[in-house]
Amino acid sequence: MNPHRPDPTDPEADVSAAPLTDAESAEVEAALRALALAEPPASLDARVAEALRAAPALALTDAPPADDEAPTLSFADHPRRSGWMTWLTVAAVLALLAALGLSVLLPRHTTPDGPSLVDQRPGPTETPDRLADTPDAGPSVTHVGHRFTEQPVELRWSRDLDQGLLTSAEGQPVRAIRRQDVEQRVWVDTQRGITVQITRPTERLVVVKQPTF
Amino acid sequence: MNGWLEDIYRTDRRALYALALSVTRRPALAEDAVHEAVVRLAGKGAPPAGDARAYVFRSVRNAALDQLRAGRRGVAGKTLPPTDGVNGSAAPLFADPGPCPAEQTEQAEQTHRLRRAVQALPEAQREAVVMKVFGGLTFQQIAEASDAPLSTIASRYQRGLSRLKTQLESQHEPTPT
Repeated sequence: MNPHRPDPTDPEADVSAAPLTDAESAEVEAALRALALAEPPASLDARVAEALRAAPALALTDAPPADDEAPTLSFADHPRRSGWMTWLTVAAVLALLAALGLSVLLPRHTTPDGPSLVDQRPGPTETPDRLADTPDAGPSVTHVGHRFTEQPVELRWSRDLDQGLLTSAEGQPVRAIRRQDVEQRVWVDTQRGITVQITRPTERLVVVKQPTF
Repeated sequence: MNGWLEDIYRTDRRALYALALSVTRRPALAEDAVHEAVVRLAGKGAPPAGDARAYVFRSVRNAALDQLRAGRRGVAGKTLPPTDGVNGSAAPLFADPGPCPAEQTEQAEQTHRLRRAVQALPEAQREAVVMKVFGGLTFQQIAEASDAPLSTIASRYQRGLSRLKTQLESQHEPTPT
């Protein structure tokens, strides 16, 4: 296709306009090139220069990309969102483990005269004599022979998500509630003046027995 | 980090501003559009995978359309006038050549007519002419910048040139008295 010829299938085509020859097109183009474009204002040059100077800082801001431009960073690549992705992944794994535990424990705890609230909590934590490279311990700290005292767990953030009604194997309806917390746990070794602080998200699945009619 | 963007701006700053002016027809909005596009692109850091010049022109065009839409909505619900020009005329795309010697009056008049004819082109045709003639972009690059098929861009450009030639020829003919 000759790109200088109008496309007859183009809906914008103006049938009244006579096509130009190459010579005529070149003549008009030459006349146009003789025109001088307006000079951008000096204030624009200054603003652009400032924007280019500030570019490294801008790259770290949370400005949303324009609708029309393909983002160069994926959702998970964003520095702030990657943290949330990690949290969500951890929460999903915990939810899966809780669901598996529920499927095993639910028939034992949902007898007709049983408790109306079944709380699947992890067992009581022991005061650690040794903090090692375990997921709960967090930082790689090992102190043999020194006793850390655990401070009361501080709840920093919490929310409950209604997961709807379930039916146990015995046919008992229960309401599942997913409780998400962010806890802060602190161990203090007063002798050595060492404080270990861990902030971690936790998730529990709570089932509440529902009345039957 | 943004040397590619700085190079393109330095080379094409007039064409980019003219493109923004061609869309918005207001100098203030055109300036904001070019600035906004540069900020967006600079924030991304790395150059795009494809044609960088087409990408920059596309960004300026889209930013200009955003500015135009925001301008039409107006500030605090007050709609802006359609143009900043005097008596409703569009902001000029071209530099004012200034006063000419007497022997160049006819040429200056023709130049003045051509400038007015370009200003009077439909927006899509004017954009194609600005990017092709003054930006030096290929039809393929203009198609990428305008998000339109290549054949449509070629048609717009050809129709723009045809309309300009018709305008010039009609103005060359002596006015009947």
